[in-house]
Amino acid sequence: MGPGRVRLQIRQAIFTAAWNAVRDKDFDKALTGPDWEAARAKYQPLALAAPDEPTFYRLLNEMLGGLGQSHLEVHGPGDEAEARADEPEAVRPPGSAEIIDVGTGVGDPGLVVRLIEGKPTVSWVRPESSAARAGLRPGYLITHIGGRSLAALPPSSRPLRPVEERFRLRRQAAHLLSGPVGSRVSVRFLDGDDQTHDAMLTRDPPARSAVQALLMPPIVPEVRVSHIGNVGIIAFNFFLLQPVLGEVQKAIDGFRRSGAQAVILDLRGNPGGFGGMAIPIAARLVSRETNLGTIQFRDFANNLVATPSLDAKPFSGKVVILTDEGSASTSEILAAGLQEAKRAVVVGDNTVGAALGSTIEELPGGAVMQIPVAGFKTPRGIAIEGRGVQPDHRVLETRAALLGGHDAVLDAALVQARAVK
Amino acid sequence: MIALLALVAAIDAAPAVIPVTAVAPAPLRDAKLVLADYSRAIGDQGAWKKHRSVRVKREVSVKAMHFTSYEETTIARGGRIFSTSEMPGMGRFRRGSDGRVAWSEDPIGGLRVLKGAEAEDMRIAATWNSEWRLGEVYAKVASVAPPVVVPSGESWECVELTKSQGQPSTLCFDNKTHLRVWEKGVQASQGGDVPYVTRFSDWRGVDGVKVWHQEDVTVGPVTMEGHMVEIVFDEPVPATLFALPHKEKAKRKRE
Repeated sequence: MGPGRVRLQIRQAIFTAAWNAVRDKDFDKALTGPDWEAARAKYQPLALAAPDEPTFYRLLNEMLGGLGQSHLEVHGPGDEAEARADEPEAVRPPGSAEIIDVGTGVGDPGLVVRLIEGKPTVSWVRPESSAARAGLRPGYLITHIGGRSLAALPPSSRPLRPVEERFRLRRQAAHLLSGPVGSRVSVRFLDGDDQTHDAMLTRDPPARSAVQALLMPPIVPEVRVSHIGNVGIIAFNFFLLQPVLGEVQKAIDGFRRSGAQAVILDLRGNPGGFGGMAIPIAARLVSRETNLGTIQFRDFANNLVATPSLDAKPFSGKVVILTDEGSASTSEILAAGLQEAKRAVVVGDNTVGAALGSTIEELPGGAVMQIPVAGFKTPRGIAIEGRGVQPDHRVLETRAALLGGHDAVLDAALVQARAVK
Repeated sequence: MIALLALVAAIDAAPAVIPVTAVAPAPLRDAKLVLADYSRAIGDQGAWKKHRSVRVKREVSVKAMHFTSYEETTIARGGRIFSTSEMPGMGRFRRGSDGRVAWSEDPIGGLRVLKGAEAEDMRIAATWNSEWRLGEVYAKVASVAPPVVVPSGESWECVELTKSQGQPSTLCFDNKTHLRVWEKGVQASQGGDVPYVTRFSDWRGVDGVKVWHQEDVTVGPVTMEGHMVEIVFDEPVPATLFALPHKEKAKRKRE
């Protein structure tokens, strides 16, 4: 049996397992009828005959993408994410012969890149990070990361809504920036005067240990707690029951004890995590049983009910939630649930609309699949998937404000937090 | 369901031109007789009756998600139960009942007193010698046909068990061994009913009675495997183990 035959068998096993997983587990049975059989008939021969593994995974994900759902994709050995590291020309900084690493490590140079006013823009720079030392500032425009033009990202496996395009660029930029600690990545950027610069950034070590839960990639938890006057601010980057939940609860409890007027939950750029974690955070903010919405599995539904724990007092002041296009999944469930319950005011931009419950499972051949196993609707029956959370006060960030050192969304949130009922 | 299966089998086995009479399913035996056979099959209740408590440790794994955890449950006379598990990446899940107050404490739901169908589920789980007393533990038992297609080569007798609150469950027993092989039920939760299906196997003798050592549980999209790791009788058990935790805290504060 030659290697070609083995590769074909592995591809067949991966393809069949992924197709079956959707047929048997996807929360929406209606999607997996005759059309799903037709999808297999169309894509199976193409995928099996793919000239290389990146093409195989692209075709497989294209088939999955036809369902139009978030939280549905397959990754595996040899897919595009891995192949990129084998393409030296792709990671060569413009004007430089040096080859640098692009990988999936937990090092990062300390900046967030988002699509603001249609252009990839630095929205945040971590103080004292490699990016800060290199002179990058919020409001600067990024044109290339690791030699890759942000204007020419690989095509998506399905048609995306504009907000999804922005979400995707943010994720792709973060992925290109991250890599093994100590490795370097080039960036080409335009400063506040639109002058072009090249910088070689070092991927800084994470401030704390990375967490790997279930089959998710390693995540460096980050909880930032601060206050402006009598308003507490809690920002966190991922819904992790350990260690993030305890730190968020402790911060809320601290603001309650100190008599804070309001708490701002900054969920900008938070892509979600453990779906159930919306419950204990909401439970610290409500005084009575509150339904955040309904999770609809394939054959049954459950409500996400937040009830104050017997051993904790909830915070009773104002709650403001900040969102943007990077707020997804559990962030959207928490924001939508508290917004509809009239317990929180949402300020910022529309969220991406990727609010499905999912599991991550191993497939044959070392591949991994995320499968949406539950839909989410608010208590009023509004599906957030494909729609997103609409802020009560929509505030868009601008390059000019970022260059001027302003966080327009936080400023608007503070106005809401301090407003008398 | 059985009637439908019998009809299909008959059509498959005979030419279409020959009139076919559907085979009537065998009449169902009285549920109490089915449960009595189960009691005898798992052994002498007296062997179990001599004990005061039991601690059971199970390994719970979801292989497709690379997830493994351990759950320890202590059940004691007087309808007392305490169960704890440390889930990797999720935290500690505990629940219990001192025979009067049923409670749960976990990272998602916090510390809660269980009421309604949740409390009823806990009462049933906490009942000492419940395997020999299913007819008493449940409000009503009735024989039913197997609710699913019985695996080839097997024959089941099934009993629907109705709780005083919450949805009924169906327990099926192997016709030859009379051991429980399958269960379909609904676990009450804070967010509503959670349906599950469990397959029991690997029965082994423990101190004079038979205990299943493997469970394959399907809950919605997740399939879990449970393996019995340890069964220990009559360990010293502090009475506070079963009580609502905040009472302990308050007591310690007063002291």
